[in-house]
Order: sequence, then structure tokens, then C-alpha cells
Amino acid sequence: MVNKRKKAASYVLMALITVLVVFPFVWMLVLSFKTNSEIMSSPLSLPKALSFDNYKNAMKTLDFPRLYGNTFFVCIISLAAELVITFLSSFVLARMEFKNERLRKMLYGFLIMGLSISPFILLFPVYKINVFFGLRGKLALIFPYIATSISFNTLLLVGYLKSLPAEIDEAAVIDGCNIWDLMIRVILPMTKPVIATVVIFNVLYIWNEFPFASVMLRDVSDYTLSMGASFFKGTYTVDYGGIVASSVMIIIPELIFYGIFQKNIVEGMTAGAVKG
Amino acid sequence: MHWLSKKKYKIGLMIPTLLVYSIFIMLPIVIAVRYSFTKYSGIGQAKFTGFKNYVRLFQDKIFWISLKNTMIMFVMAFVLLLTLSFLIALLLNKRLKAVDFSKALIFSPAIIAPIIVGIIWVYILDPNIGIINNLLDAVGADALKAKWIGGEKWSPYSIAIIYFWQQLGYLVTIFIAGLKMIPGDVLEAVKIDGASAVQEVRYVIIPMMRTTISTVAVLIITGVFKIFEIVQQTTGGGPNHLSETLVTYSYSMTFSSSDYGYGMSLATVTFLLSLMITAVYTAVTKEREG
Amino acid sequence: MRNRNFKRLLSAVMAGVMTLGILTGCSGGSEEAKTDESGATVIKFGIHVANPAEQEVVTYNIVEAFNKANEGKYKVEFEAADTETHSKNMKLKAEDGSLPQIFWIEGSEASEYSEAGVLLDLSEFLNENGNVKEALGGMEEAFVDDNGQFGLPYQCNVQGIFYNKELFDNAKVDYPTDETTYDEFIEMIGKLKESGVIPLAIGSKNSAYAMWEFNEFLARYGWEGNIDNILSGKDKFNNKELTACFEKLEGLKDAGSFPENMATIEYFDAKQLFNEGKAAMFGTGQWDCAEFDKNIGDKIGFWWGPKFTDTQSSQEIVMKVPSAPIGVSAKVADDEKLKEGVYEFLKFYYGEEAAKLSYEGSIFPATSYDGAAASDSQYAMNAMIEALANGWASPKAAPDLTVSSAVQEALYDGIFGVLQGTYKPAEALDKIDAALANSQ
Repeated sequence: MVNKRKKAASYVLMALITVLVVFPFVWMLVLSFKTNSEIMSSPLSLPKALSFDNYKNAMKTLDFPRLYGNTFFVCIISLAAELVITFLSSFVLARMEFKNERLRKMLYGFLIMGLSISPFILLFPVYKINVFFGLRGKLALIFPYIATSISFNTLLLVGYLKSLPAEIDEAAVIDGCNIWDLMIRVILPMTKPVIATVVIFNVLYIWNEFPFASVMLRDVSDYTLSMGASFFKGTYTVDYGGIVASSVMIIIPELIFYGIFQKNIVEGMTAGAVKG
Repeated sequence: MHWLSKKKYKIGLMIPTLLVYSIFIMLPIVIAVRYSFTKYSGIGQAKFTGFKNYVRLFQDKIFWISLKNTMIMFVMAFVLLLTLSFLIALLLNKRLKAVDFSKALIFSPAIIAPIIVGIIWVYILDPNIGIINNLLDAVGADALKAKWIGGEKWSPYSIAIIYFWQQLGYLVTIFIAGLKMIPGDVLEAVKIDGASAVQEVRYVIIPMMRTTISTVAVLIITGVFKIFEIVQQTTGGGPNHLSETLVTYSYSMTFSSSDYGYGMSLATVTFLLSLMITAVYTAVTKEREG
Repeated sequence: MRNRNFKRLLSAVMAGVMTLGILTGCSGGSEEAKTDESGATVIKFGIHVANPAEQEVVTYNIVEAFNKANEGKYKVEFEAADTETHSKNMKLKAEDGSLPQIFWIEGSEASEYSEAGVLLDLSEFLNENGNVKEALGGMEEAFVDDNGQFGLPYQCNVQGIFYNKELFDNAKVDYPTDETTYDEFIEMIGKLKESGVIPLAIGSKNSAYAMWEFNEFLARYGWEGNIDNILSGKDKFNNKELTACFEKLEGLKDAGSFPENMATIEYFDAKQLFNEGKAAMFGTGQWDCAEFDKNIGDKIGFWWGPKFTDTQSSQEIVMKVPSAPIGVSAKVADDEKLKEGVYEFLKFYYGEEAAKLSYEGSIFPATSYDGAAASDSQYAMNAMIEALANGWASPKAAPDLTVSSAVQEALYDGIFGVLQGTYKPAEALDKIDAALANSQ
């Protein structure tokens, strides 16, 4: 009896928590079908009719293909570059011999340090550095995104690469592999699971990143999704319905992506944390 | 392996990472600190002013307000988020029907862009068009209505709640991952000994989860010092900077007021503060473990 | 063999880095003269609204007319962002040398740009175009310093309080007049509030600049006469006049004049409240006229603000002032063709045709030409013209534009602080004094 009651209580609690967490999303969806003045003057009411006007307005104001295009562009270039460079450097730190063990530790520590550096102190200086290199627009985002990923990637990749047995290298070398073959043909395929984690973590970061974007992007044509969301205000007379609808339109693909890769995403995001 | 570990390989393979990292992470910190000793309006030349910005900072009431707000969020997050996400993890770690579905839903806010999170919550907390005040109005509990955001009192608490909403699922999942690592037979043994649920948590689970708890704590610490978009969207730091956090205040001084020198001194202090708290926390937990 | 592979790897990495470099090289260079498909020289115009076709209709129309008249020769393109972003962008662009050829400058920051040497001296332009100078009639003098004519007024700003006559009628309140005093204003606010509308719409989030109606308050407490003494250190912001002025702001707060969520809404939201008939009054300038015509029509009224009785300063003051300036990037001088185009555009912008377009869109241009006037259905602008008919004097510049950006910021912060009850009047004024001391 006691057990049953306990179990029932657990279900009620679980349902309650879930509903509370999900409610804000549902409310956004409801609001997106209300007219602007309905949102302003009768916030509690349900929409009178299922009208897609807000979505039409949002599409008119925000150039969604462009926002997505820009976000993809920055995401893919940064991701490719950071994967290549951090794989190479992690390979050195995890699997190569150092005459001086302390040097290895120092290099590793140096690269890991970034985990505790808040990006906010970097914004203005990085802006200056971009100016120095003549990096503008979308391109100004790429290096900061690569740089901020280094610590996390190093942590995960070095940890994983170290766990692979040393015999692999030896066997490969005896088979006549050079360093290039060893890295790309032998080790890289074995690294797939951790690379998946790294990719997911980095894609989510870049997809949602706002502070760097708000400083580096100055032309609407360069805006990424998170900038697009903030752009809606003050662009027309305030169109609450439009703001809500455009937010929904940014959220939904994210939620679909999450729905499909849910397991990997959750694993990826927690693996990073637990390892640290 | 030995003959592959040539110096030039090592250097060649390390250099891209080291270069990008040094130029875009380490150098900026040096630049930020250097600017924090100057007066610079964004155009023209920066003027060296010594410690003037830091003197001003300690006399700046808004700096103390934003520090206070950050600390309120920090304490709120630390106490609420740590305990509640732990408890919810205990709940969701049970064998219940649809528990995976529930976990997935609770996790979902963590993948949404923080800027959208801010937008969503405006429609819940805004004193006029937000749902909370209107609900209170509808049920006749006018007296409970408050300026959840944009007033003088509640903004930092409200922002902590929003942050809580965003992070809850993520931290719960980390805790569950930690719980799964506790060997099943340990728990079995405890059960047979007739320990109560509270005792089980207190004497078995918590001690065995120390590393996970530390991880979550460090995540919360570094996370609180990154709360930015939520504040920007809900209150913009207002009214009169009263809901500013250290991060938003330094951003607004740097980019809205174009007081780059002062903004960088705020950023530097914030940076040192978060490093310090993390260091103290890790030192304390290490000591306790050791 | 091994070595070659390694080299291949390295060169792949290098190639990647270089491609990035080349990509960036191509994307830069907005400072050089660019031409579009038709071969027209492109002139960039940085503007302080995100959507000029709707928010700065007049400027948009003038640009369109110019582009049409100069098809294949010159083409003016906007670089648009909301005010706060625009200001940030222009600063950052001044830094990396990618300023648009022409751009709107936040009034209090113009002198900083000028000192940094990024602005073209427009004296030459004015000397070559005597008719423009004449039409400006001295409006341009607000933007002269040691570096010369660093900017020209974008428009002429007429600022005050718009009111919705219908809501006044509903509340059985008389419309305000030139003689309405502050006490009567407070009484009016009480009655409006009782009738269930927001008396005065205002939003403070990201909208510190949206305090136009209070410029009138400052001016009527002797701002123009005192400001030089304050800035030179002979007097303080925390003086008798301004304390009295800020106490009046506090009085407005105490009377419950503002929306409850003032801190979480922006200027745009506040305007929306007025447009939708939820607020009875809204302080702004002529740039919103067209919008009011559309939403409120002939129910609109315009008022300079209350008269104050506890000061010796003149109360017969209106607010018709040069707006923030537009400046020209100094780099334009390096390119003859571009410079010619910019001059052509300025000639057009300050010409008679543009002035007509301006009046049609309910905007007072910086220039005055005979025969340009508003039509009958431009209710909001006609209300302003009517108010201007009293012939009262106007200060040379709006009070908030007479101080440096740091002081301006403190002034805005102080005003909104008092309006929201976070500062006492004296406290707010001390803060402005502190900002002045800090900036020197």
C-alpha cells in the first residue's frame, strides 16, 4: 500500500515538473496565434482564430533563409577548422613522446585553462584583433568560435585518445604506416564516438551564441539566427505577435533537431560535464 | 612510436591550435587588462590613466548593485538549482513509466538559444502583459502582483528563476549520469540493512556522488557569470541599471556607453572574481576529499 | 615518403588558413568606391533606424528620388540599424576604417568623431553651394568646431507632447494650451488616470534617449543660460533651477503618469500604447507625425509642455532645433568620384525638391524654402505648425545635445531614475555632476 501511494506521488510530481517546464513553450505557441492588440490588452485570452498572420509578418521581416545560411556557414567552417586543429594537437598531447614530461603537462594545462575564462572579457579585445587582421562580418566570428572551443575539445579528445592502447601505434608502425596514415587511417576512425560528442557540443554553442555575434556582426546581411531574434525589436513598430512567431520559428527546428538526436545530444552535453 | 615523435612533427601539429588559442584567448586578456588602465571612447587614442578606472569602480554604486545582483543569482542558483536538480534526478532515476519522455522534455530548454529564453519569459513575467500578474488579477489576488521584472526588487530573483528553468534539465541529466555510476549492489546492501530513504541519500548517495556534485557546482559558478541574454531581453539592466549583473554592466559600459576603458576594468574584475570563486571552491572540496 | 605526406598535411592546413585569409580580403574594402551592376557609384548612408522604408520614410523617399534622378551614375544605399546598434556600429566602424560615406551621428558624439579626424570638413561644400547655406539659415552652425564644418543637421527637430483629443474628451479634461501650468498638468494627469488610460506613455528599456518632452522642462528652467557655467565648473548641475526641475519630474512619477511596466518596455512599445489609444499623451518629435496621422488621425493635438511658476527663467520657449547631424567620412576625400557623388547627394538632400518631399512626409527639413508646406490631412504636422505660430523663441540646440556623451548618458540616467523613483532629484543631479567630473 505504502509503496503504491509512493509510486503515485512520484508520478504526480514527475508530471507536475514536466508540465511546469514545458508550459513556457506552449504559451509561446498560443501567443503566436494572437493578434498584437490581443497580446497587449487581454494577455490571458486564447486566440480567437487560428491565424497565421504573425508568421507571415515574421517571414516578411526576417530573412530566414539568409539567417539560416549565415548560421550554417559560420558553423560549418568553424567546426571543420576546430576539429582538424584540435585533433592534431590532442594527438600530440595524448600519444606522442615528450622528453620533458612537464612540458606536456604545461601545454595541456595551458590549453585547458580556457574552460574557466568567461567569453565576456574577450569581446572587445577580440574585436580589436579582428580589426587588426581585417576580419569582418561573418568571418569575424570564425576565429573566436574556434578559439573558445579549443579547451573543451582538448579536454575530451586528449582524455579519449589516451585511453586507446599504445599497442595500436606500434602495430601500425610495424605495418609500415607513417604518422599521417596512423592518425587519419588508424586512430581517427576509433575516435568517432568522442568526435560526435564534440560536434554536438560545438554546434549547439555556435548555433545559440549571441555575445560575440552582437559585437562582431554589423550588417543585417551577416546576421546569424540569435541576432535575428534580437533584431525584431525596434525594427517595425513593436509587433509582439511577430516577435513571438519568429521566436517560435527559430525554436522549432532546434526542437526537431533535438528530437531526432536527443540521445546523442544529452549524452554529448553531459559527457563533457562529467568528464570535466 | 618513438621515431614518429619527432620534434618537427610535434611542433607542426601543435602550432595551429596554439596559435589560434594564444591570439584569440590569451592575448585578448592582456589587451583587456591594458585597456582597463586607460580612458578610451572608441575612436581616437586611448589615454593612460593609471588606476583611475579601478578607483571609480569601487566608488561606483552601480558596480556594487550589479555585484549584489550577481551574488543573489549565484546564491539562488547554487542553493535552488543544486538541491532541486539533485532531488529531481533522484525522482527521475526511478523506474517509472514515461520517465524518458519526461526527461527529454525537461532537458529541452537547455538547447534553446538563451536569447530566445529571454524573449519567452518576458511574456510570463512582464508586469503588464505577462501571464503571472494577469492570472493573479483574474483570481482576485491583486495584492500579490509585483513588478517581477523591471521593478527595483524582484528582477535578480526572477532572472535566477529563468536561469533555473533553462539549466534544470541539463543538471538533472548530469546527476542521473552520476547516479547510474553508483553500483547497484551498494544500494541493495543498504536496503537490506533497513536504511530509510533519507539515510540512504545522506550516507550513501551523496558521499558517492561527490565528483558529480562538484562538477555541477563548478558549472553553476561559471554559468552564473555568463548570464547575459536573459537580462538583456527581460530588463535591459533597468530600471536605471538596478537589475544589471557584472557581465551586462561591463557590456553596457563598453558598448552602449562607449566607455571602453571603464568597461574593460569591469570585465577584468568580473573575470578575476569568477576565477577566484572557482579556485576557492575547488580548493575547499579537494581538501575535504583529501 | 613520410615527409611528403606530412608536408601535404601541413599544406592542407595552411591552404585552409589562407583561403580564410583570401575570403576576408575580398569581403573588406567597403571604404573604396564600389559600383553596382549598372556602373553607378555606390554611396553608403548609415542610418539610425533598422527599416528606413517604414521608419524614416522621408529620407527613404529623398534617397529614392535621388537614385532615380541619377540612375546609372550614383546610387545611395542604406546601412540600417536601430539607434543604439547604429551608434555602436559607427564607433566600431570608425575604428576599422569601414565607415559608410555618409552617416547619422548621435548628437553628443559628433564632436568626438570630429576630434578623431574621421569626418570630412564640409565648409568647402557649403562654399560651393551658396543656396544650400542660405536655405540652412544658420542651422549648420551647431556643427562647427576647430576642424571645420564636421556635420550638417539631418533634419529640424520639433519636439514636445502629442495628445489624443478623444481620450481627453472621454475623461472630460480640457486640452492643454500654451498657458497650462505644471499644477494644472498634474491635475490633468489625475483625471486621465481616473478615466482608465495611461496619462503619459514612456518606456525606459534601451530607450534612454526617448526623453524629448523633458528637454522642454530643462529649457524652461534656464538650461541655455546656465549650461556654459556648469560645464566650465562655475556652477553645478545640482543647482536651484535644476533641482526644481527634477522635483517636477518626481511629481509626475508621484502622480502616476507612466505605464506600470515602463522599465520593461521601449520607446517603440510606449508609442504603440499611444497609437492604440491606451495612453493619452506621448512625448516625441516630428518624425512620428506620419504614424500618428495613420493611427490617430484628426484627434491629435500637440503641446510644448507646462509652464513653471517657480523660476525666473523665460517660459516662452519652444523646441525647434537642429537634429543630430549627418557627417561624411573623411576617406571620401581620397576618391574624387566618390566625393563628387557625395556632394551631389548633399546638394539634393538640402535642395528644394527634398524639402517638399520632407513636408509631404510630415518632417521639418533643416532647410527652409518658400512654398513648402503641409497638406490638410497631415494632422500631426499641422498641430505642430499651429503650436509654432506663437512665435516663441527656441534654444539653439536641444539641451541633451549640448553636453558630451558621458554627461548626456548621466543626464538620461538621472531623468529616468527620477521618473521611476530610483533616484531622488538631488541624487540624480549629483550623479550628473560626477559624470562631468569623471569625463574631464
